Amino acid sequence: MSPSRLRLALIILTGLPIFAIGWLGLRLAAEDEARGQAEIHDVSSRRLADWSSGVLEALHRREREIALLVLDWPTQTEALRAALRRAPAFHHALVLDEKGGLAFPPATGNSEEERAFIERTRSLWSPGTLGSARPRDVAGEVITPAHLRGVVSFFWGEGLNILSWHRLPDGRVVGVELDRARLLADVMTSLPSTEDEESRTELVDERGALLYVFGGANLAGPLVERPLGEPFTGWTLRTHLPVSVTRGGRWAIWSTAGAVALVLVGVAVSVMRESGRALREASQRVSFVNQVSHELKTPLTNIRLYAELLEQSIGELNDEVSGPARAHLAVVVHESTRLSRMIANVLMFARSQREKPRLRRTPCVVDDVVAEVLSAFAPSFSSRGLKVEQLGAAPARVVIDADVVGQVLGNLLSNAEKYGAGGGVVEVQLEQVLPRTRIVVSDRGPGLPRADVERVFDAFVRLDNRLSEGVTGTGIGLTIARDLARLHGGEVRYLQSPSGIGAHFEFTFDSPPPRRTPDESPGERRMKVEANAG
Amino acid sequence: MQLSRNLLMLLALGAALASPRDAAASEIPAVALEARLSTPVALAGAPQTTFLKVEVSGSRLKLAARPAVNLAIVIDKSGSMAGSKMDRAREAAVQAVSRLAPNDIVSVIAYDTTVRVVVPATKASDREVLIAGIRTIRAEGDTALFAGVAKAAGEVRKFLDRGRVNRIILLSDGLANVGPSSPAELGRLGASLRREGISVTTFGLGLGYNEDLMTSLARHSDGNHAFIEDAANLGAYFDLELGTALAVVAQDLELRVVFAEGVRPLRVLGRAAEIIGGEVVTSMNQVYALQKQHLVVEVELPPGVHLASRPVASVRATYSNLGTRATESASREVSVSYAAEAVAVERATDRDVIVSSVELISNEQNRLAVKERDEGRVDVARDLLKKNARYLRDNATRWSAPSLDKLNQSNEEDASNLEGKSWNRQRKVMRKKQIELELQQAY
Repeated sequence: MSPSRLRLALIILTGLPIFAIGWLGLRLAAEDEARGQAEIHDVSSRRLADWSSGVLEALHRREREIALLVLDWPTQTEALRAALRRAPAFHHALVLDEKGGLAFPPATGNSEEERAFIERTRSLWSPGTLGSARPRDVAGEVITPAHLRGVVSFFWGEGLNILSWHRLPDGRVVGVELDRARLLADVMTSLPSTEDEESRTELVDERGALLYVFGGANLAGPLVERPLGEPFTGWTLRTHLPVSVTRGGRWAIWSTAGAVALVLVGVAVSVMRESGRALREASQRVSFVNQVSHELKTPLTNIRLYAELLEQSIGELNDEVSGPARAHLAVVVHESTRLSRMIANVLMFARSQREKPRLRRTPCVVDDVVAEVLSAFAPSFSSRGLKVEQLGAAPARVVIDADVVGQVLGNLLSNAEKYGAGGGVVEVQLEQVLPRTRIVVSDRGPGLPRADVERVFDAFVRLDNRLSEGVTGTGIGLTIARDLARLHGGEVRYLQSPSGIGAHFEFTFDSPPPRRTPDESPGERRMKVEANAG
Repeated sequence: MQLSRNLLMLLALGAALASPRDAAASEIPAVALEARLSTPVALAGAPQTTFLKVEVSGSRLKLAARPAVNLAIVIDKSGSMAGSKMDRAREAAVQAVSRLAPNDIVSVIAYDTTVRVVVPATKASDREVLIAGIRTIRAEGDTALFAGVAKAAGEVRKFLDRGRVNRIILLSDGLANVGPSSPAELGRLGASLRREGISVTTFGLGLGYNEDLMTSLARHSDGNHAFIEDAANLGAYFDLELGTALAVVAQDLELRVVFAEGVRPLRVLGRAAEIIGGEVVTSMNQVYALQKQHLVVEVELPPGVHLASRPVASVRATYSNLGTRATESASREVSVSYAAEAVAVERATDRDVIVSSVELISNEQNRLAVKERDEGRVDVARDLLKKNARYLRDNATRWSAPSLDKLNQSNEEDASNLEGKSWNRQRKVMRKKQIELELQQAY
């Protein structure tokens, strides 16, 4: 896998989980927060509701108290005044007779305060003003016998005032004006004090003015409001919710996601660095070997040239002189040929890293190419006690890159030489069904374990451990063989032998017959060099 | 030895049980009532106005009969109290708590923007709890004065008992800026509490408090008011206040003056009272031992003939004797006789009634001067005060009354402090004197 693909894979592998965790975490946090907020909102609303019903309950207690009082109220003006004078929660009352006429306070002989009271409440009870001779309760209903008492609010002075109405059994109706200051004090007393509550709650009147505040800190979240309800028209309890109840939870999710992300990124970075280092090292070695090989190529070519010239010269000498020398020289030629092949491999590999190699096809016969390669291997094969058995033939004249086909075959034979030496026989099987040629090189060695079948074709850069074996190993030989075969429109495959003995490499390649042009005579054929079709 | 000590203790206990205050108190009425006209002899032949003074005084308190106290201490802990004022307030409250008897009940309330019941109504024997609570009070925030008093009343109400002296001491150095904050509203709260038998004593601390609120609250609840310029004196005022609270002999006194046919009440001087037809009604939350409190009504007498006599009013005081817890009453009849000679009228004139009337009339002028000054008419206010001083001086000489001369001097002082920096302080001094005169406060 190339570094850029590795990087992409790592980014995906680390990024996806992080994204997934983050997204899930956020979703969870958001849901949790919404749920928490809803709960807090509910709790707050319920508390506000409790408190406001507490306030109403205090008022109702006062009403019941008054209801009991008024039942025993004296009818005599003076006695009634005396009773009012002693009451802490109210100072003024009015009594309507059965016909709705004002019986108390008296029309004459009244105090200034009583007159003011009559004036400010007149609209609530006087006949004609509201078309009713009967006091109305909050809902605007006329108080009927079934409806023995009620409250009505009215605005006067500093704001809201409340009149408590009671219908007596004798038909009279009593209206008691609650003392506003005392009413306020009662409301405050029925609400908690600061030490009982953590968050601040405010009671505001109809103009939005603060009446009473309790609880500790003022929170900054959304506002929850609850009107006290009738008869406290316009009075509202309100409190702020906390900004976020699940901030802690959200933080936990973020930190978990962050930790996972850090671990993943750490792993990714170390993998990148490790593989980057390996790749760098490998490519450094390749480029070193490449340079060295280039340097070696020219002298080696000269050695081979002069060794072959020497071989010719020796051939002209008589046998007692030339016998041992000829054998020594054969070794020199053979070894230098082997070295050339290896260098060709390295250079080919190095070149394939930079650019796509090009084929140079020429018309030739595969059998000739095979024979040439086998003859080159003959001395080393015989020295290792290997016998080559050739089966079938590829006699057709075809257009191929002989160098490439030879190199692939050489690499396969070299492989057989190294690993199949114990088997004694190397079988080369040829088969030609145009436009394809098939060569199978089999040895009788130990073969390859099934798991390693594909790995043998991997270049050493992928298997850094094998780098140490150097270019002399099959480390790149098979890789190059396969690459070249593919370049030549074919493939190198490892065949599982039915007997389970030996290694069998199948080399197939594209081998079209030469194209005949109309003006071409069979005698003088001009072969077109085809660009490869890799 | 051991035996004799035990015997002694037993005897002492027996003595304590045998001499209950009920018995002692029932022998002497807790309240003495007096009613006099400034001119018991009126000039015959013409309608005229005169002053009726009704005076209530508490009997000598027996030490054994010291009433139980139900006290709420309300401390303004708003930001302005920070520093030495807060320290002094805490100190004074701790001292006050230490002075209470184990049977007394006390609660501590602190307010700023909100109200904190620092120590709910508790027996004073839980001294540690109380003192620890007081020490937690820290100054900060705004001033919810109304709510502070309302909550304190709630605490007092838990043990509300006509057999106890039910009292709230409010200590504030500032204004009320959260909740109801007009003098009228606080006055009405005070009046409501008074009807329950709870008095609110207000201590104005420093030069920043709202004297109108503080005096209104005290006045309508029949509590005391003090202007305490220097926080160092707080402790002394707490002592004074507790002293008066412990000297209460009667509570819940209603004073009712029914005027005779032909006699018309024109106005009540000082104390808040209701005039309904021919009747004047007022109330006092408590009567202190050996302390006199009075009501002065200006009345119009019908013309009479020489040597004739006629009833003017019948006065009745109904109250609860703190010792016996029984409702008692006292009544007096007031009549006038007519004489043709001015000398006879002059000779019979009641100097004490005149002095009280002059005090209260000058007090009304003094109030008026504050109102004029508040509306920016400094000169009008000054003239009023100068005139008032002259009026007091004349009467002081005429009736050889040193108390009137003292008032003359204080009016002169008021007149020369109507402007600049000194006005703020002087206004507090004036308000304090006004309520002191109206309610005949002990301090």
